[in-house]
Amino acid sequence: MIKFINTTKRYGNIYALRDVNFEVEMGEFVFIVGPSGAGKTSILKLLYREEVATSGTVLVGRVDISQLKSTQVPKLRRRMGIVFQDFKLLPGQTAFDNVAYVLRALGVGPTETRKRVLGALKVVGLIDKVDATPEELSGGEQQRVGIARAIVNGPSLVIADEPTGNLDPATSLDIMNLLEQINQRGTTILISTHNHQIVNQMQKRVITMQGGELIRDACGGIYE
Amino acid sequence: MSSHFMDNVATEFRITGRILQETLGGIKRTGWMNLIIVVTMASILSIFGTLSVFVLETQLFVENIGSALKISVYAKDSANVGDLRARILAIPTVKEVETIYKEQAWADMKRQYQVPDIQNPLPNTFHVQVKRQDEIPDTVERLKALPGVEEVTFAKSVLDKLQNISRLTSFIGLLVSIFLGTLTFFIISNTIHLLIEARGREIEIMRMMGVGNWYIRLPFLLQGAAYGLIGAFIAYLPLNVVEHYLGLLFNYFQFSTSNYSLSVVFLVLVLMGIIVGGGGAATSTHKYLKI
Repeated sequence: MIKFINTTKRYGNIYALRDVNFEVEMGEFVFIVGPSGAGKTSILKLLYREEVATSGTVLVGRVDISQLKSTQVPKLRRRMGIVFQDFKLLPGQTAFDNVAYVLRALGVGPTETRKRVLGALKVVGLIDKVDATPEELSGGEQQRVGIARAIVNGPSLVIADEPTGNLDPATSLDIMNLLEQINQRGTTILISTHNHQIVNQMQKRVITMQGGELIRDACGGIYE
Repeated sequence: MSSHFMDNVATEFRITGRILQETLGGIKRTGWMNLIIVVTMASILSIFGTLSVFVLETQLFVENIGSALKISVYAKDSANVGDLRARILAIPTVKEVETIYKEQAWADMKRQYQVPDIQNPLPNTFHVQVKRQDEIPDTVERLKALPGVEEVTFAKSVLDKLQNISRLTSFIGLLVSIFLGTLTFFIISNTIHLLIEARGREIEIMRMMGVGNWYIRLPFLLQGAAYGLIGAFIAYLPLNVVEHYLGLLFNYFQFSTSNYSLSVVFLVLVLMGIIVGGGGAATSTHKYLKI
């Protein structure tokens, strides 16, 4: 599903990623860990084509997305769901509208939109908060809305960049469990984090980055 | 197949609706700035429009006066009046020839002024009118070359002055319009820039969720173009007043104004408004909207 082949990302003389190689199969749950500046976010940004690799290949499906024309990027992103550390919800709009926003922009009809949005909000356990605005929701609930928005389009891959970075430990675990549930429905999940406790607790595949290099890739791994 | 097609049509329809909705939302969000933009746009367009009407009408005026200017051709005594008239008419740029026989001219003169009783000194004269004023110099040369012509005269200085006035107004008009156009362009591109900043989060979310570039861009472009369009319609009102008074002025000189120039100018205003408005917005989206 995802393949990094000798991928390097350089900003001037600074290497964000250096010769990174790994592969993620369909339906996997993978943590990317490491200290700040290790290259975690760079990997995710290359995946959703916010950045382009300086050299090497990034395959998503069978497509080398470094070669993708900028007009094809929206199509690529529609096949993914992206979850952010700061949730990125639209203030003043209800949970329903936040999740529906993109479907509406894509021209999905109102009946279908309603069905899908309620479905996604149900998965994240917020069916009783459809009318609440982000201001009325806790941090954990806001991130749930963010996750509902990421999965509403039925993506085969969900990318989460430090999804628990702004949350307390208990809520963080809830969010990870939710992502695991989504993974069990067949969605591939890729999470960058530097939360040791959760990574060690969940016993998933862990890719460890340091200084832009991949230093360890272990199943049922731990974050030292 | 047809149901799939209908689905696509419905989707496109909904997307168009959403884009218009976003555009209206953008206009709403701009608040009182809308007023400033539309007023600036309208004043700039009306100044531009007034200048254009003025330039167009002056040109028409010059054209009218110029072709009304008559070239006087004085014949030699030996020349046959009928022959010469025929030759003058044969020049393709000539529209009309009026023949003034020397006997008649002398009689008129004697009637109007006190002249001593001498032998008629006046030549047979033709008043030649050309089809277009810019053909005057050429026609004069051809008239001079005709056999039997003693002298050719016309009010060259009047024509030159009129042409200079027309050129000057066009030039100043163009200069002022370029200046004002640039000003509007920047006001609009700045406003759209502010809007893009204000909507930064939404835009980022849309980008990340794979919403198409045009869906994100179009509302801003449409908003810019809308200012141009509204400005042009408002500018049309003072333009009518200007046209009315120019008409009165020209009627005084017994020339008719051309109604076509107002509709042409209006079209130009709409186009210019849309280009300046949409262009200003486009510059901003291009510069600040990372897609």
